[in-house]
Amino acid sequence: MFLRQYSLFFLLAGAALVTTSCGDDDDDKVIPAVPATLYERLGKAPAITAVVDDFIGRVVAETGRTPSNLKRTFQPLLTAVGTGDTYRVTLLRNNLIDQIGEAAGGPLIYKGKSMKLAHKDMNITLPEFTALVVQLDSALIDNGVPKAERDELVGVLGGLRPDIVGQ
Amino acid sequence: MRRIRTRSLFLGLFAALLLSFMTWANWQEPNLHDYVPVTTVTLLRVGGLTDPARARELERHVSSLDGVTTCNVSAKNQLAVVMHYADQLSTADVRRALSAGGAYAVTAQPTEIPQASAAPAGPQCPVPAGYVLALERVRFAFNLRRFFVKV
Repeated sequence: MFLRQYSLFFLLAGAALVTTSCGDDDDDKVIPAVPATLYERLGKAPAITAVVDDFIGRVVAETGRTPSNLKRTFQPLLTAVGTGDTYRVTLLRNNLIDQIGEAAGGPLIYKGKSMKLAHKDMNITLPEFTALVVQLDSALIDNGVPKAERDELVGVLGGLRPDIVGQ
Repeated sequence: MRRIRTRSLFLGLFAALLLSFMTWANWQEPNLHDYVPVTTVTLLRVGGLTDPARARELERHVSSLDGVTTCNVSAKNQLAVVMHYADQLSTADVRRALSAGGAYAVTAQPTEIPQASAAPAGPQCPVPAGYVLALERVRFAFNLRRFFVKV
């Protein structure tokens, strides 16, 4: 009577025991290591933000030099900063963080304008673009990014050149 | 009876508004930049700073301050560019630090108005940037999808 009454309980307990004991075999399986993305190797969002901040600082400093390759491109931005309006720089910073984050394989996508549209009628020349890449590379070096990661990131972003230069 | 109906109407309207707002806030995944604190850029002229070694020293000093993310000081142009968290370090604090106890005259960088033909005429957003940024912060605060993204 007792066994009949509790048969369902014993059945379920037995099934659970068998299932869990079978599961032990899976522990021996070697899970292949997923290679870390460039985003992870760079140091994720805080490291990308540090690079972007350093990069913007360098770009603004470069515009103060004579001759400057970046002054023409960034003059409207500098004018805004000079009048106390820092929102445009913040927007640029936000877009750069999002774009580098996505290009490096980060978890979120860049939702800003396409590079072609963002640089339309700006007539950016190759020396201006190259000067920008040099500043980015310097920012990456100063933030301790290893050469392999630096080259990989500059390579990915360099692919955007046709959409930026001569638009 | 009429009072109950009015109250139900208001409640329904409030619920609809709340639902619309939450839909707007959660429609898209958040942006990566939403997860990092906002910085501000300060551009200043450091009058009297002509020694490059002193400029490097000043740069190191300002960079070490809490709230400064990056600092660039040029003796050649007597120019300083500081990126900092405004809530931790104000522009006045940055000025004070750059003046090195009154050794240098720190003033705002004079703005240059570009010529229309030389300046790049890229597309500009008609909505003020400050409004867009404030709206973005509100949207992120109510975006519950941020809890499911590991950045």
